[in-house]
Amino acid sequence: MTREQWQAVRNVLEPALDLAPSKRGAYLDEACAGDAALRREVESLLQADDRATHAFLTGKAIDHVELSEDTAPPDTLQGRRIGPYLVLEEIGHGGMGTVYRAVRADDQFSQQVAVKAVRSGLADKLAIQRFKAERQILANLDHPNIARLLDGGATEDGRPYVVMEYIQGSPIDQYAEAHALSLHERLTLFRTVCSAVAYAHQRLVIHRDIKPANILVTADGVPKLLDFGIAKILDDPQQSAGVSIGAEQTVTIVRLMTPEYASPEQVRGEPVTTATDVYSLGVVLYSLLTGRRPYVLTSKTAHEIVQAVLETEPEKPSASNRRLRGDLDNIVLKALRKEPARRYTSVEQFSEDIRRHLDGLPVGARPDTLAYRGSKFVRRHKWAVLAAGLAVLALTGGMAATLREAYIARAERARAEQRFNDVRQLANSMLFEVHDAIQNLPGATPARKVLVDRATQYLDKLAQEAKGDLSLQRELAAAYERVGDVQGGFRTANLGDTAGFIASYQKSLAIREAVLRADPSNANAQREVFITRLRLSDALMWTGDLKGSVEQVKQMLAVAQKLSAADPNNLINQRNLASAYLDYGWKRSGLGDWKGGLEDCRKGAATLESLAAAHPSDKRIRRTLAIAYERVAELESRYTGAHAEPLALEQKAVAVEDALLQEDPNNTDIRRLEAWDTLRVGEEMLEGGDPRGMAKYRDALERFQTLSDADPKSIQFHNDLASVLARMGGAHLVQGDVRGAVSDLKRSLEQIENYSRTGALDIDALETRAQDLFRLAKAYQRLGNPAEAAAWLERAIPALEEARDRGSHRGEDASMLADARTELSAAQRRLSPR
Amino acid sequence: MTLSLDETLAPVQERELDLVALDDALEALAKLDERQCRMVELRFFGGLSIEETSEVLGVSTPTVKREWASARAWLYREISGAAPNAG
Repeated sequence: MTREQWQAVRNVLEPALDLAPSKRGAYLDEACAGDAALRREVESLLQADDRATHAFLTGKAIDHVELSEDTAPPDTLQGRRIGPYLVLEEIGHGGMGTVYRAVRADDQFSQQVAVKAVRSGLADKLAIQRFKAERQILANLDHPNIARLLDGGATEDGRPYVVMEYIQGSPIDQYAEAHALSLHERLTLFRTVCSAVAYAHQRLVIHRDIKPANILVTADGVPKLLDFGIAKILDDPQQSAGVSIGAEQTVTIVRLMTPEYASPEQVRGEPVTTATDVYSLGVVLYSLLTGRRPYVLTSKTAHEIVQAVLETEPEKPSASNRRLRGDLDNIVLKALRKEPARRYTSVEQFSEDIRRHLDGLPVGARPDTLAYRGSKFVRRHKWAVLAAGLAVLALTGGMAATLREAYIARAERARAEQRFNDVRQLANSMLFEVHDAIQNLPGATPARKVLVDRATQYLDKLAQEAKGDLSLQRELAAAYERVGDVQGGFRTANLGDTAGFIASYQKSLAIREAVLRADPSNANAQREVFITRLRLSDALMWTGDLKGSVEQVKQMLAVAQKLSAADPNNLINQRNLASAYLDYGWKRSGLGDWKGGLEDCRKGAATLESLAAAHPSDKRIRRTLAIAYERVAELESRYTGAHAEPLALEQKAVAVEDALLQEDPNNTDIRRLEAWDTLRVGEEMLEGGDPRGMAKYRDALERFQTLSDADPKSIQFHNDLASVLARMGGAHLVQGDVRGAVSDLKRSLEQIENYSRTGALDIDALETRAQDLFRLAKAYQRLGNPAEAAAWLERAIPALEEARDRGSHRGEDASMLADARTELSAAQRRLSPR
Repeated sequence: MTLSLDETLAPVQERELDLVALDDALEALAKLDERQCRMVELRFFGGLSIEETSEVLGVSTPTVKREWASARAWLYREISGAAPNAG
């Protein structure tokens, strides 16, 4: 189909999709006007539309793939330990964080608490500042009707949290309904709430977000005021000096408010005083007495909220309940006046007026005069109303860019920013959600390339515009790693671009280090640098730069030691330190000091063993432990010539992997590790003289073949297959099965040659190829075919040289090269005798 | 041979929608109409609403609705492999 044809089809199809099926026939008769091909096409698409289930493309892409545990939103603290508290479940969201129910885990009687933590994704400094302020404020408040602050701190990833008294109760309006409280009881209960607010006001604290949901009444009938989430200290010099706060800050404050209980001054973004709480208490009292809100909002649109809060005079409470006529009408309406100065001057006065009413005394509140009715007020505040309207638009619209639009004079710029955020969001969802989700799906490599290419195109464009935006910088760093992985990350399905691979990781590390410099104590930033360094170190090693690789891992170890010294009981620090020793030892052993390297690996393995025993549910530790066994075994076997001990270690590695696969049978990563360790078991058995080792080779080969068949484009699996076949060929050669060896070695070469066309080879593949060629020469010598042997030697020499030049540090390669040269000249002499 | 300490994510199970096939189909759609392809990216991969999509693409919401509907029908047919001979 051409673009023009599709356009023609759409011209007919789109109106047809809007028609009832019964009317489509007549419509098509006319619209297609005898063009049978067009009609066939449109009808086929209409059929497709009928067959497409409602769900097709209606959700988000992410809902169509099951996420593994590891990709669950990292935001939740559920199930985690914070200090001495075990977080049980989420019980609500505050303005800028989540509230959880938790227990003191070391307490026999398991005292329940509420833990409130700032959202981890909230890179909003304002929110963190406020949160810290909240902690300070709460620490100074000690009142029977205010939820008590018990503790506070920061989680290991740097999120501030507070621990508060856990209140089991219902919101005050629901409580009053459920217990069918009398008018007298409702007023008395309300006065208790007033006493708590008045207490806070005396300590220069304004609540700013009073609403029924923040006033819980316990089963004993005791009201408790919660959530000083956006409270402000009155004597904050910056704010009380009358300095007008920035537009964005205002917006943030407004956004954190609940529109139905917000006061006119809050909607206008004006300074907030104790009169603001008087107003919100007025709304609460209104609801408590009438069961309704002061304003009847039908659609909750921005315009309606502004109109109601700023312009509409609330209906008298007595309109709902005649018993309220008179004093109570006057009291409630006085609290709800638009102008702060005309409300009660304090919560005590408000409460006192209610007491006088209850005692049958004359009250201070008088009916409002007409002169103050809303319309005039609004006329005087035309511009404020307009600004507030935009703020509330942002409030109800819910999009960050809309918020900016409200206050940034240049609409063009706001538009650009909105687009920017959308694209950033899109790029992220593609990179992280979709890519992660399909990452281990068999055959997913081409789709990943498309996804990653597109997403990075967007991000690259944005990168220049976003200097100084730390959260975007972190997203970019992660994005570069994702690109690097798909380009040439040998450890996962990849596209074979090793140069791009290294460059992407170096970019990522540079960004992550800059982020860490900006915030050196941030645990997340520390961990991100650690992991990126590990990945870069691997990448350098695989591309042949072992020195560069060891340099990275050395820095990684130094950082891990420092962090672990600062917080030795932190599990992540312990795991990272063990991993760093293991990796440093393994990589540096290739540079010469194998004894020191083996020591480091043993040290890492011992720590991992005890960590795995203490935390059996931690799959990462168990995975790393399996690799630790394998590495210690490999180094011992390679350098000490022992085989019994390495065999036992490899068998332990397989046992760990078996257990992991029982829990997660489709994990290709672990299946691959197990295939490798099965091969290594076979190698150690043969080396130790046990001929049953050969069966292990065949078992391993079959496992790799299965993995590769499931994802035929993955270079890693082809490299794996090539390596296994090479080793198998070597073993057959040693055992005297020369024809078997030739077959294995040729298959191994075939794997490598095929896939060297799709990109550069990593160091393992280069070594494998060189050894295959050399061993084939050997095999043909044994078969009595010197001409064929010489031909293989001629190919083996440059391959061995390339492996050496690209950084191979295996001693056997060097001796193979020397051997090959000697044998080639000998063969040439024999073949062309003078 | 080095097995990396850096673990990859655990694998996932495929559900009924074949994202790879969808991606192929989107590529083909982009050749017919880039904007319709973008629309699906924004809505389905990016999770934007019709209104948000219209704002990002700078077109009206009725246009988004209309073009979305025909893109959806086309993609479904493409994925279910029921294209007719015509066209």
